[in-house]
Amino acid sequence: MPVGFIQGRFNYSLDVFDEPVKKALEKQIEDLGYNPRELLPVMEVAIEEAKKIVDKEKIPLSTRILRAEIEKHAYTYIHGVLKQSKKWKLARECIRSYCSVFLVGAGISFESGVPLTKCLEDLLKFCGAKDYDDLRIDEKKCYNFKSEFRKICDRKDVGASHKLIVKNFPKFILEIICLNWDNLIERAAKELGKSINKVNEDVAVRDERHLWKFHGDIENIKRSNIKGKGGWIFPNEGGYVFNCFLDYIKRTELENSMFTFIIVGYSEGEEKIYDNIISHFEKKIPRPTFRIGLNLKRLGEEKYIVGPADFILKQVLPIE
Amino acid sequence: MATLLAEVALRLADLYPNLSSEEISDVIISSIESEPMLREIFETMALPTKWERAFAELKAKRARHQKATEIKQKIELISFYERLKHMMPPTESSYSKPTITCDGEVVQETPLPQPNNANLMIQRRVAVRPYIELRLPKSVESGSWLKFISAPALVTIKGPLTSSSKILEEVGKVVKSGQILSFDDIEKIDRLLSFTDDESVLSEVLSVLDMDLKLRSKKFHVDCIQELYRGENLLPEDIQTPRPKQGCIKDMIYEKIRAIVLHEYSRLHELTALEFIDGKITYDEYVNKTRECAIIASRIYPR
Repeated sequence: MPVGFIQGRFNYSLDVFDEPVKKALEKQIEDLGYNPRELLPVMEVAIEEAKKIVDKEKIPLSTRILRAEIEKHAYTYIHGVLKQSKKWKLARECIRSYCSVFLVGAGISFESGVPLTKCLEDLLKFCGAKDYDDLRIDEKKCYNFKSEFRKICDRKDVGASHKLIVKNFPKFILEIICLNWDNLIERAAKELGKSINKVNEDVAVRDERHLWKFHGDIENIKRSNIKGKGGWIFPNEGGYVFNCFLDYIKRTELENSMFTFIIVGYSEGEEKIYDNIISHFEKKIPRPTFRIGLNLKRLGEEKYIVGPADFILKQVLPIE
Repeated sequence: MATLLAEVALRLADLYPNLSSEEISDVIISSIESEPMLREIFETMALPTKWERAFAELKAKRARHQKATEIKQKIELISFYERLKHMMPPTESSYSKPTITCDGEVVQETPLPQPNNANLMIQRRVAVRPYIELRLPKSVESGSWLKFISAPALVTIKGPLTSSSKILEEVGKVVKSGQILSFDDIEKIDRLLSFTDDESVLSEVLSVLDMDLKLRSKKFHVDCIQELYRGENLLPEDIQTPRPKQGCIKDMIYEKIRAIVLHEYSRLHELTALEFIDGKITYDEYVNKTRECAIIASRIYPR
């Protein structure tokens, strides 16, 4: 997300540095022995993250030092991402050995350009709603919101990470829990000629290996918005988990099985998701759990892999 | 005001290399007390007209070389002192303008303050302090020499004031010993540049900076000047790094300082980043350290 025009401190947007910083990083990545083209998504994320740090500091710096500051922070980010080969290897081994269950959050779709929660305020306003409560009360506004969101998603391209997940399903990825409304994984499956059983309503499930969509689905838009019956779960609701999923993991013994748990691009801020899924899978019976996200602060954590999903999944999933 | 005080202090340091920084600080703070040297200055001030000044200069020319230099120095000091006196905050006792009689006697109606007048001295210190503490000129923010002067005057004296030749000698030693210049060294050079236009000094500064750039290119395989302008063509014109005007030695010096500061900043940032990546320091420590580094670099980076 571009950092906006900052009045007072600089007379220009930090975005003016994007191009020169990108050029400098390309050279440095080459020096590290990587192909800059392959690392383009990492580079873009790194630059945005660097601009956030510089923007947060609120220090008036001279222009050239400011540019160098963005460049250096971005390079640290890239360097940090590339220095995690041990973590990649460990995650890959775990997935290969025990297979995995993927929990996918908004971060993965953000990389394809789908707006994050904080950017949805404008869409709310566009649909005449003040907030998400307004959507829950007013069915018409709610329906408009879903329809508009679908239009936005239709314009987005499937990302490399969506394709990688589909490619590894169901051989190495047993279940996919997708908390996003978009249909990018489904579209990736279609593009790859694969069929995925999708569960987007809380109904009894017989067979195994699914794509679970607890929070709603743009391919299942209804006039009413009832949880578990195609209704969408909005950001301030604390999440939602289908009862049929809880039954499913008991029935299939998944809850007692050994697998690697991978959380991609999810902030873990929703209570129901955390209690019923994350805590359940990660702690009840300790399982190797890896998180993939953009938080460089967590670089030192053994099982937190920093970097954009497009790049990291390529490193950790057995089928490329 | 503060700049002027600093200017005087530096000039004093240059003219009277034997004076300690403490003595110079006292000169500034108490403005004029009856130390012998200041008496001399005050006495020489008794040359109020252009004609008399010219006469003094003529006298200086005729005098023996050493004496001539002394008188010249005094005259130079006077002009500074006069400016200083007009800008000093009012005190209980202000001096009358001294006059000179036909037979050359200095007449001053208001007597000079006595050294034992402790109250007056304290009052002056109190009066001057806010000017130094609150009205620091931009040169301080840009890491200029003033901070080296105001600090000993108000706090503790760490070392003697360095004159231009000493600065050059110090920074020259650094690069000659095969080390690269630090931010502190650049600050010293910046300090030197702000009070000299002497071409011989400037060309010496330039050669020191050139030596540093050569060392950097050898040690780190980087052309710092090229690095300075890298990607500038991708930026809007108004935020591009200025190029030096041809033949302007100061511009050339500033270009080299920019290149060195930028490289030094990059180097220190990378070292800190490596510490973070290797898990030796936390992310917050990395951000704080590099931020400090960016602030210093930005302060001494010539605008």
